[in-house]
Amino acid sequence: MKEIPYVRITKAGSSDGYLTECWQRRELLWFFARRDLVVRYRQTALGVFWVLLRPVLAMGIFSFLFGRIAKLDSGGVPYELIVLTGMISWQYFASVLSESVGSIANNPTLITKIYFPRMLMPLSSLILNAVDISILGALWLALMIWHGMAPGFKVILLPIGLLLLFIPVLGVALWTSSLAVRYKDVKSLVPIVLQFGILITPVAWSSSVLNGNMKWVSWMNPLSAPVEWVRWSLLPGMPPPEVFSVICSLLVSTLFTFAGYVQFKRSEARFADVI
Amino acid sequence: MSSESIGVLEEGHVIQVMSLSKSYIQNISSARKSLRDEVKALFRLDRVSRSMRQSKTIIDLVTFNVDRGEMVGLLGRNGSGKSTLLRMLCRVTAPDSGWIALRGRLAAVLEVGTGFHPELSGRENVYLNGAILGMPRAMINERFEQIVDFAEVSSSLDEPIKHFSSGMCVRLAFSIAAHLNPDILICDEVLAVGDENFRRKCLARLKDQSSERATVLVSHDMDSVREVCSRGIVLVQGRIAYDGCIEEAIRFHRQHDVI
Repeated sequence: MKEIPYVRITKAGSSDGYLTECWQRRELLWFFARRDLVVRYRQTALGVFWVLLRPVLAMGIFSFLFGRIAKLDSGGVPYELIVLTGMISWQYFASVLSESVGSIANNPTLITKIYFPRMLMPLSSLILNAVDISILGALWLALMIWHGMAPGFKVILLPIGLLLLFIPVLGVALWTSSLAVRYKDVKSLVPIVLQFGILITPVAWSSSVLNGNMKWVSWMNPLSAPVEWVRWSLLPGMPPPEVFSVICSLLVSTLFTFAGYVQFKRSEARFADVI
Repeated sequence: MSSESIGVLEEGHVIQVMSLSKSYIQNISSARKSLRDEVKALFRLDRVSRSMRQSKTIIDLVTFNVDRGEMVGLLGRNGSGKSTLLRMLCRVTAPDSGWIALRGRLAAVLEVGTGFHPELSGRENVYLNGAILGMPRAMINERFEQIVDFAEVSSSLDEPIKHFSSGMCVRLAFSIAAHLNPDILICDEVLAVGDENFRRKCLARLKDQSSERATVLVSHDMDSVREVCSRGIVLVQGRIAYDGCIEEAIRFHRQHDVI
């Protein structure tokens, strides 16, 4: 008789490796993402235009405020492109944050009735929102052609910027989704972070307009470097992100995300009890 | 933890449960703690809250084994710990002490239709629910026709589930669960679903496939339990009060139920 492997379940969880298990159940990731995608756009009159609405509005308002009224230096690049390339990163962060915060807390029936690695729920929002980002990418391409501009060879460095962005976004998804199960307070915090975060992150402005100490303060924000990197790789004539801010962001967000993973795993076993 | 208490799964057993215990901490002052309470507790401003906690034992040193081919009916009153035991078996919640060893693939149906989304079509829900229950996509593809035929919903497969009658929903949900073909099947109160005809069909299906797997079943419908199970375990206040042949177990449960 062949030996079938067995799992042992104790207080500490299962004897199977957690990441192995996540990998084995990766199909579920697509199913969750697909479900949310279908549900989001079915029975909506405007469908995919909802994805474009927020960044386009932001583009109009911020170009007016920062470009026309404040007359910030854009290095000769049309100001709406500065805002749009900033919004690509910000929108990803904002959508993942606002969706992942409830990904577990809003699904008590799933959590109390059936087991699968819970991490797949916040992770699916990272996949789902990547779809939205590619729609914004198409808008960027259209505007570039409209203005007769080319990003240059540095566009091949875009993936590094996206990776820089992905790490803190993953961390935020892990932290908020697990904390929101026990503390409803986290949900109330999200709109505040989004409302003010968009202003203190170089979304509608480039950190090249800052000087001295202000620059340093801006570098403390782990989202600064990815936002600037993505913008730099997508637009000509933008200053490259500061090496220091990139290292700072990478360090802070890697630590933050790793801690988020540990925190998620530790609280996961009790999700069904406290939800 | 010593190596002895960790233990190894013995040959032949598919499920082994050893000295399993779980208790819930009840906070009398507030059922759900807010961040404010936690911060207060952190700074010890709120000394009362800790002393007011009480722990209630739900499962108390439960030990049993299930072999391949066995169908076990888990009996007990409401609040005897059946659901908590099942939840631990299928890993929804972790035990406080003791351990469970499981050999092979486990599928649990603690509620029919968990994860069904009303906006998605019947077809989409089969795939989603199958994936949630742990069926690989290839397996769902392979069994899709059988699932739909068994549930008798093929005519409205592409309509959103919200337009399904509750009977259709339940039939489809059970049908997915019935086609999982796991090594270990855990069912909670799922036999109470559908009309008499469909219930017969479900029981027959459970029985048909029982020889290749271990099945643990919770139901308040004693006739169904008697029909499909060979062995019964009676839980009383989180302890095993009786473990043996199903007739005796039902008798024991009924006697205890009256008291």
